[in-house]
Amino acid sequence: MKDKGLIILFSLLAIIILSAVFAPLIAPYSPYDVDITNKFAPVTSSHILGTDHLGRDVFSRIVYGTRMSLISVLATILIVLLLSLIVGSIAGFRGGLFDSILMRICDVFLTFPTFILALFFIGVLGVGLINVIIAIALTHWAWYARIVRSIVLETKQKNYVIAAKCLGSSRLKIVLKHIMPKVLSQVVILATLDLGHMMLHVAGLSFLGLGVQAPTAEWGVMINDAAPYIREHPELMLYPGICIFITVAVFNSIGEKLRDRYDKMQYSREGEI
Amino acid sequence: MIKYIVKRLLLIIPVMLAVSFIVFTVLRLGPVDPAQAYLLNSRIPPTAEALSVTRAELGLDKPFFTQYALWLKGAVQLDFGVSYMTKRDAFGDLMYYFPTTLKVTFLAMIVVIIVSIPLGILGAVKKDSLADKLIKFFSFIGVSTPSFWFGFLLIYIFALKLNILPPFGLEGISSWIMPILTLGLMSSAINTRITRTSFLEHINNRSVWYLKVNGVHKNTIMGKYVLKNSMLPVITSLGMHFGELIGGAVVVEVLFALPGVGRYVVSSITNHDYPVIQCFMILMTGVFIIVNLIIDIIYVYLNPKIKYGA
Repeated sequence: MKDKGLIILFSLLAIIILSAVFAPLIAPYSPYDVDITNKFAPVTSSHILGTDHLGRDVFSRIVYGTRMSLISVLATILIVLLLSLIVGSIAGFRGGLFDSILMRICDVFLTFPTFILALFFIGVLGVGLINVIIAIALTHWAWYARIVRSIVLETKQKNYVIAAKCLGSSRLKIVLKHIMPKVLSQVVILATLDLGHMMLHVAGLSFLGLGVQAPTAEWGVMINDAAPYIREHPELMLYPGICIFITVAVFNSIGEKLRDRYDKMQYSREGEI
Repeated sequence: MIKYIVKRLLLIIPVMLAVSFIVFTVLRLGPVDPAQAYLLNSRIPPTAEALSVTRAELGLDKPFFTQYALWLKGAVQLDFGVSYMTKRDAFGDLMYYFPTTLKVTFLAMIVVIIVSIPLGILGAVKKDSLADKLIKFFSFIGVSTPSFWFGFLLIYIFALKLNILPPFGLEGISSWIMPILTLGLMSSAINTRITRTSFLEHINNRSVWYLKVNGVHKNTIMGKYVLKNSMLPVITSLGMHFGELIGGAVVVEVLFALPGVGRYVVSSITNHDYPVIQCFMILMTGVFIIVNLIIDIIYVYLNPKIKYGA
């Protein structure tokens, strides 16, 4: 199977990941080197994207910004997956009182508008990147937990799971070996589709001054820094915005491609078990 | 129907009680001492003596449930306590800004509806045409663009370069255009997709084919059958979009310097102004719940298959 779109997307993703990992090697300057005498430098061979209002190299800041964006969304999604997999599979597999209590807790989280709830958690925890990660994870996990639960409930009924039970497999083994793979394959696709959305939330909170704080090289912060100079130097705002856009678009497109492929697989497999 | 509405209205009470309890409790589980936050906001050095005086003043020395009961008793009478920052009534302060926030949110909601539903239907009816491709491209761009950045682009183009719209603040009707476009972009893009997918599903339904065979006019099929049925998932998703919009409104208000709750709430969050945060959460969640109730009622009205009692 050859899919040109998917190849392009994965190469873009590779570029994003590589520039995050090798930021110190790629960036020609430190993202924090202030040089007031050289502020708003135009595009030259020494500063390929010019410099910002403090004379910092914009290209270096963009490259380092990749790190912040990737780390924050990956940490968020990891917490979301961990929480939702544990809660969802306990609720789905154990059923009964456990199930009702855990699902009521999820309902409570889903009663609040997402972004408002994230604001609230930052109000509780305080400002900063780690708190933003926790806040966004806490506002997204409930929805996943419900999905995990419904997949577990569905898979629990399958013949191969019942067979494993009859053969005397322990509960933990059944969940980890027979149910989890099915859950993961679907939830990871959903998570990929959601990564972009979470990244926009992180950037939005940084913009409000509640997330990553200046002078950290982060794309949301860079847009905020560039705001006062929008009339004279709109390009300073353009670059980080385009980076957020491309990264989110890559995540969204990969998620969609994976989902389409998964749907097709399900469709062709129907009636097998 | 009326029975259903009354039942749903009564259900709001326990939900709001749960919401209020969680908001109150979680805030107190945080690492911040409200008495200290109060003193810092009042620019008084937080000495041990000052702290204990403040605790007594704010009733923080009472047992937890007494504190909650007292706060709830006030909240029911719309007295949410005094803001630590401004020393004014928190509810009064928020109500001063709240109408603007609601207006931005509802205007953006209207934008979402009038942009996404026609585009989604057009995309579905003319599937794979140039128009459909453009519509798909629009929704692709829309879901990936950071809204505040899009807002800055609009400011640069329409306010600074073309000089046809005011860059920020409220100066008449034209001031609303950029904020509601910024706010509505993402939800419009998502909702266009939902509408398109749902419409496509119903066009390809077998019953449409039977209606066609029986000689029912195309417009009747589209209007009476396809449109009505395909709108059901769209209506449900509008409730979700409302939550996104009212949250996004905070960002957009800060961006365009609109006199909504945005800036006030952001500073209350950074300053740990508990009474304001509590009141804000109750207001926003309350509106969200009520809007979703209205949407549910519309849904039941359009889809009588759903039993009211359930």
